[in-house]
Amino acid sequence: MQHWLRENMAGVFMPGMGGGPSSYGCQLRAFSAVYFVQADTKKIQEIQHGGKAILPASILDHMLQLNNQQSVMLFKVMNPSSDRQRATHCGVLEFSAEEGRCYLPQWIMLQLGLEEGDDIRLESVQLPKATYAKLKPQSLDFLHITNPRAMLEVELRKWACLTKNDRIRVVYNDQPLELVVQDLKPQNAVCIIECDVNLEFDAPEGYQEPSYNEQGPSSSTVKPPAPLLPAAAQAFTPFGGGGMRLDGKTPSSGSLISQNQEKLQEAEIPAPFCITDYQPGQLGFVRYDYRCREVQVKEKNEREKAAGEPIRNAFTGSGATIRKHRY
Amino acid sequence: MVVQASQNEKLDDVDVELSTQEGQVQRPRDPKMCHHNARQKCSHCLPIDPYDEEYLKSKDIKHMSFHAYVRKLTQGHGKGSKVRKPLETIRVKVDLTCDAHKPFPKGVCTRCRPPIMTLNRQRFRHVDNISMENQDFVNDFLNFWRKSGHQRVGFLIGRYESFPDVPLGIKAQVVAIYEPPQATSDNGVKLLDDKNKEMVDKVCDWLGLKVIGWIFTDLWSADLKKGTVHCTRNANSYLLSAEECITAGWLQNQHPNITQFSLDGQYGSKFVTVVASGDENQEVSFHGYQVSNQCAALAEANVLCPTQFPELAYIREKPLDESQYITDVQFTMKNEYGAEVTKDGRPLPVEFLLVDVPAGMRKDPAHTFHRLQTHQFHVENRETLGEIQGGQNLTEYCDQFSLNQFLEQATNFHFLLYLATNDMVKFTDEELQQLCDSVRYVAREQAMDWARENEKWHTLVALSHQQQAQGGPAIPTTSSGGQSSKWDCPHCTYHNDDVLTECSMCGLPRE
Repeated sequence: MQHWLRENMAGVFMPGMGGGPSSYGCQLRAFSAVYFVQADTKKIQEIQHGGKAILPASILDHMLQLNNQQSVMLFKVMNPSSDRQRATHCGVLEFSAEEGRCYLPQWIMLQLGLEEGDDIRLESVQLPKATYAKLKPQSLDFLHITNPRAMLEVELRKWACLTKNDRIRVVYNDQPLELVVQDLKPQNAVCIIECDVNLEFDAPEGYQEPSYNEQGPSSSTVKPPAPLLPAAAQAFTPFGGGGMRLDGKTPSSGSLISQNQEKLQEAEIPAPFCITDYQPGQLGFVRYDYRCREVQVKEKNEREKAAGEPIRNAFTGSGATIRKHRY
Repeated sequence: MVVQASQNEKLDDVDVELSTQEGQVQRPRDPKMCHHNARQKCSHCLPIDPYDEEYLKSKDIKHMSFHAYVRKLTQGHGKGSKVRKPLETIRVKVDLTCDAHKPFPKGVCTRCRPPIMTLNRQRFRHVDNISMENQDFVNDFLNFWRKSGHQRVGFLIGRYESFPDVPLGIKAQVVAIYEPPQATSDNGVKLLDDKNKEMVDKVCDWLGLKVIGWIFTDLWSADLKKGTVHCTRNANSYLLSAEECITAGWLQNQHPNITQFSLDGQYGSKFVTVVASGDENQEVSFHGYQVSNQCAALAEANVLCPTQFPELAYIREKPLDESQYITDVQFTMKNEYGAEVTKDGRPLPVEFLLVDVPAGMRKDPAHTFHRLQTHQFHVENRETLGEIQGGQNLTEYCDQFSLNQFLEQATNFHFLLYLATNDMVKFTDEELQQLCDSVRYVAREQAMDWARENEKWHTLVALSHQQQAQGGPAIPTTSSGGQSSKWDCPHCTYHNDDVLTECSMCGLPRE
């Protein structure tokens, strides 16, 4: 169950460290916070809405053995089994997980496409301090926050580092907010502890500039057709049922009746009704290819005529008598 | 003392002018038929009446002019008031003052009940042509739509003139457009209550002008690059919707036509309707209309309602209150077999209510009001576009003119209206009238004197300079924005800048 891997990371050497191996990597099984036995609700919340993971204590030992002067421990989390190699970075909340396991925030699980208990690769990394970050809120709720900067200052303390394209989730006022990290400087992954960051927000997803200064609603050269009228109440359609076969085959379609039926489905043009509460001074203009009622009726009649006389009135034949009328 | 009649009781100058005219259409000698000498006349060259149907048809005039119509009615001999005052306002309401019985819901008789109305094409029109004096003010009006994509309503300011192309014709000469407060959107517009309405009428009166109609845009851009607009109003859809007809009727009732040929002293209205919409070539074009006096009467009685189809109106079925009487309205039309049938006005195609009036730009543009390419004075009620009158706008506008050019500066309808309606400095009517007079009669000296001597004008200029320096909004706002840097003088309540220790208005100390 536990497979420990220790590797010398070829090529990852810190400058000025005398060439000693400065990186450490291992493979762990990832679980989300709810699986953490020692956790109460508060801790789960802390893990879920933060950028730090709970790792086993042995990692701390190994890190100490490495003996580098890192002030913060940052790890690169990778999903080795994923089709596309995906990775992100996280900090450490506690070294209190069981050996061989780690507990990750939900957003990392989603980011890496992990199921509960999947293997991940963990590598210790060193990241430069952030100078610039650009976040894009994923919902319009963000606009309702009075002071988003202050909110993020508090909430981002739960993060140790950010990676480009992370979709992080913070909670403000019991309301989860998603943010996508759009841009980072100086690198695509940065440490955000004890640093001055130029923070920028992009317009939230789905946000539209108020279109007051835009010319016209549509720029198409074709007038949109009339909106479909609500389908007429189910009119009586004679012989409208479908056929059945005993051998289970589907009966041949395209009978005369079903064709006629389709044409009959065309909605009736409603009778004009009086808008009694109109106040003068109010004008509304139609914004589709409108034709007046008379033309609509005429066109409809022509269409019906072209389609052949539909079976409109079933059973309307008159009676006949054999006896001749007397005049 | 001369008591001047208010504008609503005064005959228009053009009516006075036309009523004195002979009105006969002179015909030249017919080279084929006339065999007499030049001083004689025969039936082929005698002048004809202005209402001659054949003559109008040959000139392609659909409706005779109002004065020609009056001539036709008064041509009979006699001195009775029926002959001299033949016009009678169409009555659609029930007469509640009938003394033969209890008032309407309790009793009704044939005298107080309005007759059944049969709609027919109005044979005359009050205005025979609408002419825009120049393109500039029309473009200014359309600019609202160009900048915002929203529709707009404006009132046409101008005067009525005689129109020689039609015998005894009247032309509505438009010189400016006033834009009242309104709620706009890209497919609708709603007029709001206008607190400046009276002031607009007054300023117009002082300038020798009048509110002569209204204009609205129904523009729907088709191709932004080419600047084309959809043609929404054509023979297959509608020319004027029922809502527009009712609104036009409502406005016409507010602007009655004063005439001596009616017992009531007024008959119909010269108020015109102009639609700015796309034509077949997808260009913005202007179409003028009036609604018939029958429609205006129906609108006044509040029995005309729109339907969900723009081209169909509907005669109300249930009275709004028990004293409302709903008269029967019928119209005759040809049915599909070509036979004349009478139909009930439920529904009622609005084409029976329309009188079309040709509208167009004047060939030789004239400029009653000046328009500048740079730093224009903003049009009123355009705060939504960020065009705010006064403050910076006023300062920039004024800076283009020297004192010598004050007349040119004041020759701007929106500027004059701003002086009359601004919240900061109240000019008295006499002061405004003086200025308007100098604009009307192009009196340069008088305008300069006004600018030199009027204290309030100097105050307004100073205030707007100060506003510009502060970069604050032109309209004094009560929001919290600039409040912190001001203090109210305890003696005269003047808002002072924070840096001052004594009031700049009354000079008393701050504490």
